[in-house]
Amino acid sequence: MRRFLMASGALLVGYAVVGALTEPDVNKVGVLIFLVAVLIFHDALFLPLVIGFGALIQRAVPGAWRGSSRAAAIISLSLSVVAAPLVLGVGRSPDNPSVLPRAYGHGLIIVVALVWLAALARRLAVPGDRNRLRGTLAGLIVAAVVAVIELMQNNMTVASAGLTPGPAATAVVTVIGGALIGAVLRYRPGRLLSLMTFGVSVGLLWWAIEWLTVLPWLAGHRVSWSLADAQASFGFLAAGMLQGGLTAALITAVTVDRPASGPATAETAPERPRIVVVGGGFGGVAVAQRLERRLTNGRSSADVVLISDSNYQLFTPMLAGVAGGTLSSQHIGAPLRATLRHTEVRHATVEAINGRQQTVSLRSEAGDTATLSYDQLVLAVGAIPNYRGIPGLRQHAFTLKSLPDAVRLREHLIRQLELAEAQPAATERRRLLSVVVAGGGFAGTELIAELRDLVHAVRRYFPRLDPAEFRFVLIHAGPRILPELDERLAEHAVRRLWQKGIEVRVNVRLSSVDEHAVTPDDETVIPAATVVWTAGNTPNPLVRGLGFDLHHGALACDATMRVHGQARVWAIGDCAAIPDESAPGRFLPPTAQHALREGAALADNIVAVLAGRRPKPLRFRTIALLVALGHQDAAAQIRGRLLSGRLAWMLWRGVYLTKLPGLDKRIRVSVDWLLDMFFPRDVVLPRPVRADRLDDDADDSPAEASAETTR
Amino acid sequence: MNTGMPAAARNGAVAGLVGGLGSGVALAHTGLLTAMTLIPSPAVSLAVYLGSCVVLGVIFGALLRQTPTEPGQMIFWGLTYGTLWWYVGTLTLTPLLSGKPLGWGIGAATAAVPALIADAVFGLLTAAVFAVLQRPPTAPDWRKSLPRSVAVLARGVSSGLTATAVLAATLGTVFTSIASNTTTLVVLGMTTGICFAVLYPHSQHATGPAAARGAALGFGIWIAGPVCLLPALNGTALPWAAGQLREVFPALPACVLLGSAAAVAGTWLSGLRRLLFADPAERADEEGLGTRTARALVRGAAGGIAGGLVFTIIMAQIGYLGTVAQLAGSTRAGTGLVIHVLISITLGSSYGLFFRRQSDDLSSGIGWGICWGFLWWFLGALTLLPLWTGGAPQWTATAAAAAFPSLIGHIGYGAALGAVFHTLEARYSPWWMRDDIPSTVRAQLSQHRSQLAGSAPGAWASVILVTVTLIIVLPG
Repeated sequence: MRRFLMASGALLVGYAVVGALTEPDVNKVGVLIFLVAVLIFHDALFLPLVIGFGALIQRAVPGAWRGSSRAAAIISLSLSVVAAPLVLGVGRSPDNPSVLPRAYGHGLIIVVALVWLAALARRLAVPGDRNRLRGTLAGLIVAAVVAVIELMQNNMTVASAGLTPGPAATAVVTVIGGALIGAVLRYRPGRLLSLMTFGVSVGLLWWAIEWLTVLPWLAGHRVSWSLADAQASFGFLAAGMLQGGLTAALITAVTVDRPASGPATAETAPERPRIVVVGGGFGGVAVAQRLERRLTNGRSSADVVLISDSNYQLFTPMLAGVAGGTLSSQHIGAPLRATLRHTEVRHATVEAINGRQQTVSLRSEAGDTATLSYDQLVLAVGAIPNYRGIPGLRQHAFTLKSLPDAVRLREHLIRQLELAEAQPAATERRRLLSVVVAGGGFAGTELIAELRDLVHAVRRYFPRLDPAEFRFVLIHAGPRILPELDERLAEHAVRRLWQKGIEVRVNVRLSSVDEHAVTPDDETVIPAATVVWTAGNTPNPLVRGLGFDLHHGALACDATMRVHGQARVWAIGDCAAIPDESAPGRFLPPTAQHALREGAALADNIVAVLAGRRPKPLRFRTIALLVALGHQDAAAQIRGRLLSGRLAWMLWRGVYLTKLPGLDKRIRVSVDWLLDMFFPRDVVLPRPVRADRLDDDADDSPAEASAETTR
Repeated sequence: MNTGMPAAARNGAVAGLVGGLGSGVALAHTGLLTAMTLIPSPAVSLAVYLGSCVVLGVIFGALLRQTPTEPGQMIFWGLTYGTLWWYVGTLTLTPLLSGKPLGWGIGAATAAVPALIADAVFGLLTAAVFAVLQRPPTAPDWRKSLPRSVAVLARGVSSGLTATAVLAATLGTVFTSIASNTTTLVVLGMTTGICFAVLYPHSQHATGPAAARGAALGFGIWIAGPVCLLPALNGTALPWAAGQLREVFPALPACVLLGSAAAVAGTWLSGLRRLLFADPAERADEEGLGTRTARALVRGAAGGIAGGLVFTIIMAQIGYLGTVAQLAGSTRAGTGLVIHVLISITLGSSYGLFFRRQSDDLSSGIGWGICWGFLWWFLGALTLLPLWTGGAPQWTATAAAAAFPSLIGHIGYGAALGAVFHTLEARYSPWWMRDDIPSTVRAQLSQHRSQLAGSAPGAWASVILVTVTLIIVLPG
């Protein structure tokens, strides 16, 4: 269909071009200018306006009103743009007057008002809200009675004769107003007087709209909201207030003894679909947040439940900052309950999923088990480190997947400095001061730069340590680090790392790790007390036991993010293999940027499925890639454009700061960064360095502790 | 307060009788009663008037029987009830029963201005007496209540004096001229402060609602003071006819601003006491100060922009932007528009700050918003704008009538601001709008909601009704 439309469009364009070129009377320059102007007008003005309107409605308008509001806004905008030249009189000739009965501007306002009235009527006509329907009917009845009484008051109609086009128009506007007044009044137990006074106030407001604005305008009278007009229509002010009060009384009379159908109670509420999201990372939270926006209208039209084994969302791009001591650990974690106000957050671990019965089995932190049914299930359980069977790696290497990982790594590094300070043997001291990071991706590169910054920022506290004894090594199995980045930028990064004293060794894999040294496959043993593994992840083991189709250990999904063969199960993030529509045969990369976009798109697809529509495949192109290289240095690639140095570093901080969930967290992180610029980093060790404790530490190996946390 | 219907009706009847005596005797004294009741005999007309007041008192008692409001706060319901009764009774039922056309024309309404004042006085007196009669018959423990009462009085006196001093220093003779001498002015200020403190002895309100309630109290003070008691004490005739009332109109904005300022000062004093001496847990909030303030400011600014757009249409139509531009020494409409937008955002943000957490449904949002708009019509359009453009506050009935389009603009601004702010606040399902909350919090919520359902609508309605009615009816 798309291709057919494109071909049709191309044919039409071709026909127009041929016509323009062959027709001698056509002003070719003028046509060209016109086309360029249209293009600029459309892309630079009209499109941003429409998108802006849509975004505004998306953010500000309650869910149930969004559809009709968006349609009305776009139609109004389109009409206004098209009618603008006519309204402004562009090119109008004075000797060719309009044959229309009223000015173009007035006509446009009438049409736009009708569009919005239609949108309002469409929303009010939505079945299910009996209270609103009842209120609208009550408003109509009272308004009809009031309109008849008004027509019978000769003195009032005489006094206000200049303000209205006629009795029929007055009656129609009054009745429309009655319906609107009735639609906004809602009885609540114990609020009779409140409702009546509000009814009177709304009646007063409607009088100002009807008698000081709409009717004078329709009558061609100058709309001035003057006291003279108000006095001429004073009787209708009294009538309007009585109308509002009586409408409120009638609504109360017909509602007070009926069961409330407004706020749904547990007994009366219709069965609502339950959407269960497993995982509180970028993907899971993005799904829940988007669902909240799409489905929430003061009260939600679906139940969204998010299950996570941690009660916060970890902002992983800043983990290296915590390890490097520039950020406080709690500042890069956003509490799920604060982020998701309309979602039920369950702090538990998923033990099993039954796709046939559509249930999820949970175990809470206290050990209690529970079963939860779902209508739609989203799996966003992420990944865990993959040690690839390298001997000693699990026991002796740190990872960087969680807050405890980062905190433990920082403490370990500070402890090595303390130990080295007291170590007389140069060989052992050099081992203690050596750091090896395996994995030259974003995580590994940023981490080694941060660790190097940490050590050099605090080494003045350890005067006996020789700076030449520090050693930082970045090992990467591929031919170059940062393979996602442009080659030139990766080379720049390598240069910068070398300048900072960091060895970058490519085409090297780890063979084994023990408590004293790292042995790469080139057999050059590197004595080191600190080893960090960032070179491989594998999807969360939970997905392997589900019985769903897998692709390299990840859940095999189609481009709409639905798991193969499962109508109600979806997967995103590191645990899902989602085909990349823009690059056939490839899958979307497991980055935070993609998880966020996948989450939003998946929520839209679930909303579509719940509404009986078909889900859409995800199409997303990477916007920007940013990597921090330590001490006010970074490299960035934005839509193919390359940037490095302090500007890129500022961009890195700016972008990630805006992505950080929660204003308070942004401020806290900003303050951390600010403090880091003015004050030295902290070398506090929560646990003292003593020989008897070192044995314990040796038992409590980093990777074991990390694995425990991940589980 | 939740008494049985017979008791409430009985109390209402007594309250209505007292209220009727107050307003009826004044009307009889000025010779307006016979014209109002259309009965030539003064004695019979007073008896008929009192009879109707008793019936109205019974209805008032029945309506307010279960309204969960503090006794003192009922005063606003009384003012609203009296004003509404003027529309329903004086302008509608009385002509109908006497076979005349409805009094919905401006001529009939202007002629019925004395009845409007009488009905307002009746409403105020009836509500005050009803509130006293409805109090549970418990013997007060003087050892506890005396220090509390002294503290309330001290707060009232200090807030009233502070408000008077601030307004006198800022506005000068325009404000001080509402009283014949300094002593009267000080007494008026102290009375206003004491009235608010007595009405809200345990005030824990936010600044915005306090200002709105203070404005409503200002109307009551205006009616009780310059319109009734001060002429009576001076031995002059009560200025209840439209022409006479125009002469004391300048005291109305003064009383409204005095009421608001005294209420805000009293509320801040209360807040200061809580800040210094109360248990911190009492002040605990679900969000930090920074977050909640930032959110309130942003939501208020969004509401201010929406309200400002509504107001802009009116301003552009009546050519008011040039007047606003004078604030920056210009007369260009574009400059006026920029200043107007900035003012809209500033007032919207301040609304967010002062009215945060004060609306639990759309009606309460719109109600507070309109009150805020009204307050700024008095303070902005009639007072500060003329003052800052080199003139004096325009508090005469004629000036207020000329500023009527601006009043409509402020109503529209306030309604849009309140509605948008409430919608944005409700999107986060805050605890005071939820039903699934723990029982311990429910008690706090119940108190919060009872304030919203109790005196707040009375305060909004009295502000809206009295202002619009007086502005339209008085110029003649």
